[in-house]
Amino acid sequence: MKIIRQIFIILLFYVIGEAISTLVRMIVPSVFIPGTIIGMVLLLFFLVSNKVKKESVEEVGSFLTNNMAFFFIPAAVSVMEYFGILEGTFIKIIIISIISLIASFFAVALSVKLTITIQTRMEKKRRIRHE
Amino acid sequence: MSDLYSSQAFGIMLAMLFYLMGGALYRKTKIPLFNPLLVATILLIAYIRLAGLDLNTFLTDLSGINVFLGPLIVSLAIPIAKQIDLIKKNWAIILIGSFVGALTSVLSIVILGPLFNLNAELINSLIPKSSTTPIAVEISSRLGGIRAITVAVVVLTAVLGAVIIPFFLRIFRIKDPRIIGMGLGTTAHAVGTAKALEIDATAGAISGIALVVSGVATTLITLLF
Repeated sequence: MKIIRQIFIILLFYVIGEAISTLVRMIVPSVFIPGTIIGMVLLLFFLVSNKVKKESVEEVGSFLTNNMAFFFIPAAVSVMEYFGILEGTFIKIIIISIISLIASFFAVALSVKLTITIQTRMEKKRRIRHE
Repeated sequence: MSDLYSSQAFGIMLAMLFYLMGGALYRKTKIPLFNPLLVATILLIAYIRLAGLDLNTFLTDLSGINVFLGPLIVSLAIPIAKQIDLIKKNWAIILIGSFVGALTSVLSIVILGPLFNLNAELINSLIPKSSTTPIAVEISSRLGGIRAITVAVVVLTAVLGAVIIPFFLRIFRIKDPRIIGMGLGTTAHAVGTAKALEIDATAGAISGIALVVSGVATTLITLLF
């Protein structure tokens, strides 16, 4: 019963998220926010405010997120169908991925470092003022 | 006999077996190349080829697995809720790092794609490549990309990231767990998070948060397309 209940709660948030997504698209056709993301944000809100207890979704949720990659095997295997397209572009895709990866990593590292520096400086100023 | 090995149970069992083998290899060697998804995919493709099976029939056998994709994204709220104190303390770093990372990744593909003469369909498949797989697949489908290629590139990027980034961490002597976690989580999501956890517990936790927040950031950025 416990596991069924957990699956039910997660499915419920998923369905509500999809419903809100559809509703938003009906009102404003150009805006498409995935229902799954809405469901996730809603569940997060309910968990943090303790309206849904962690224990009532924990086992099933952790099973899904800890084994995330497994659920993508069908999609990954179907890449077989596109070997034709990939034959001529695979090396290009790898090169682009590596450049993009390095660029993103340094952008993140620098912006985080800058944020930390600004935060420490503000913290110091605040402390001096207090003294 | 052929009824047995062309059944759903056999297909899913085989997928699990290969996935477990990949997982065991990774735990033994700690080499990101032995990513369970990558190992399982390569072995299954080899199996389909060698046994001369029809891909679509085999995928139909596996289709039960797809039911979990939506609930999986919703469940990402759970690990985030557990880290709420860490998030409250580091919200500025997480938000800024995730958005900067997502924006750089998306822009670099939009700029590099045409430079390398990739067609629109391929570029759209690559745009969400540094998001976590479930979110990337959704963005790709919405933009008109090819799901399968997105999954392949997402896994490839993550594996490459988990190999390359630790190298940069050493060269530039990056020690701050917040920078390590954000750097790995935004660019190499789940595989990066596994690597971050090996380096430092806080870095792992931050990386786990970053992979979700940067996925949401990528979703929001691509809404403008």
